[in-house]
Amino acid sequence: MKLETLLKIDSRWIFLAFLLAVAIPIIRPIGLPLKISENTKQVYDAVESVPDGGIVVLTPDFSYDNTGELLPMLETFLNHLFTKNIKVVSVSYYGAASPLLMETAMKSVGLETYGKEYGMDFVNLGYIAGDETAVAAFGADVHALVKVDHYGTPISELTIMENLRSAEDIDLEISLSAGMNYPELYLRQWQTTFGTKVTGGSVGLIYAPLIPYISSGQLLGYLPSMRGAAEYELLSRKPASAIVGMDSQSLVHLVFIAAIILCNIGVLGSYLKPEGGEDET
Amino acid sequence: MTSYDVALSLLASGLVLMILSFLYRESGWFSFAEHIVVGGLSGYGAAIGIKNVYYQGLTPLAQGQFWYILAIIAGLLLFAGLFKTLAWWVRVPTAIMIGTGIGLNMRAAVETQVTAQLIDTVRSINTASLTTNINNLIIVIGVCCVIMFFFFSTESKGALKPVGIVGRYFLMISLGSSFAYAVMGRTSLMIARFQDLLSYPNYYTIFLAVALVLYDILKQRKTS
Repeated sequence: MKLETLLKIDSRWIFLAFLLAVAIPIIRPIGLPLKISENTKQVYDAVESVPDGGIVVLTPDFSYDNTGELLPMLETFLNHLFTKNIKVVSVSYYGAASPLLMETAMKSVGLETYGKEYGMDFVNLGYIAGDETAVAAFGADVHALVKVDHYGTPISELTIMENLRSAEDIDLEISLSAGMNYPELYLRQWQTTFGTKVTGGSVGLIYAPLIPYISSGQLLGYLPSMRGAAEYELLSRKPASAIVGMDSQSLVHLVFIAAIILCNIGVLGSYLKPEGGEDET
Repeated sequence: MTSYDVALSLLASGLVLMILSFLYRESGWFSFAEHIVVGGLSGYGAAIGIKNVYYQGLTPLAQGQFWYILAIIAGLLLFAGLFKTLAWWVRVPTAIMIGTGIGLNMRAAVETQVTAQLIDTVRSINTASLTTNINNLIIVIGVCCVIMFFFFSTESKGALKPVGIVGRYFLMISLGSSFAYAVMGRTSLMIARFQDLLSYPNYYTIFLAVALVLYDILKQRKTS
């Protein structure tokens, strides 16, 4: 076999291999083991350490294109938060679709399942434009910046907002981010300025550059993509879509490694091909 | 599940398959779904933007907070770029936004992104755990070598050359790690879509899609 023919494989066969690697474990789960990392335990402990009646600000800074990675994470955080006596305030500074995504997550989690009440235990403040300026203004004086929630209800009528005046009142900020600048933004404007604890999770693409912030203790752990969500689901004993997807994740990674090895063998074969001679190896 | 939910679910999975059809070959189905995504998100974004202006700007103004008029004027000036004679005025709100943004950023950026990271780099290599000592040493060496790799004031030769090479290898490992996380992330997106596609009633659309692809393959064979 000519090794360099490996480089000429129709890419659609590779797509098919990926498709099968994703679909087969969804149809018939394999149940591969999943180890909970110290990082995920740190995030879980950060949520557990929120005092009774404390306020958690949840910032889903992502859009529909990242739901596969961050929606399971958002749901698992909500499930965990609602099992405790914690007030959850949702606000987003990224992409207009975020408030709608929060509605999708709430529909799946269900306030009534946990006996919680809108305006008392949870509020969706929607999207606030302005990035750095908006986050800084929210941290300095919430009521001066936000007048109504996502549905147009004045925040003065919402009991949950009575005790949230500035970032000093936030017991924990959970950032779910699709962009590198968002966790950094909360670290700059809330953690450094007001001492607010920050944790959360992000899409895989931006995770590696955030690791130094976990290492330095500025972020109290941070979940990476679906893997982080799956570990969190396992830790909070509420298995859902992320944990189901991990079999596919492992299988796809094996296919990916195989594709890289085959491609490199093909490249090696093209190097070994003698000039104008027989190329059979 | 109501018939409305079923219809919505089928529509969503149909659109996903139309987008995925690009992996087979570009077709009208892909363009159709692509335009719906762009149009839908733009429309929703515009609606949220208008809502923001109404609640954050016009409502306080109507309640007697007259200084909000300055923010509204600044916002309107952003549209001055659409008119050639007024285009210069765009600089005013742009300058305000850049100035405020940089000012707010800088007040905490040094402490958050420089000082705290610098402090974390200074690590003990004399702890009780041998693995921690090794890890800490690797971090210190890695940071110093990568910084030296980006030191451009002198030519990289003599003792500096091997340091730069080690720095480059650390950078490559870091990029490899970033790429692996990116693969995991992108795979997660695909898994989530397939979890949707393989659930009831969405899997019916897969049969339709497979039938369409087979029809296309047969048609192409006949013509060739």
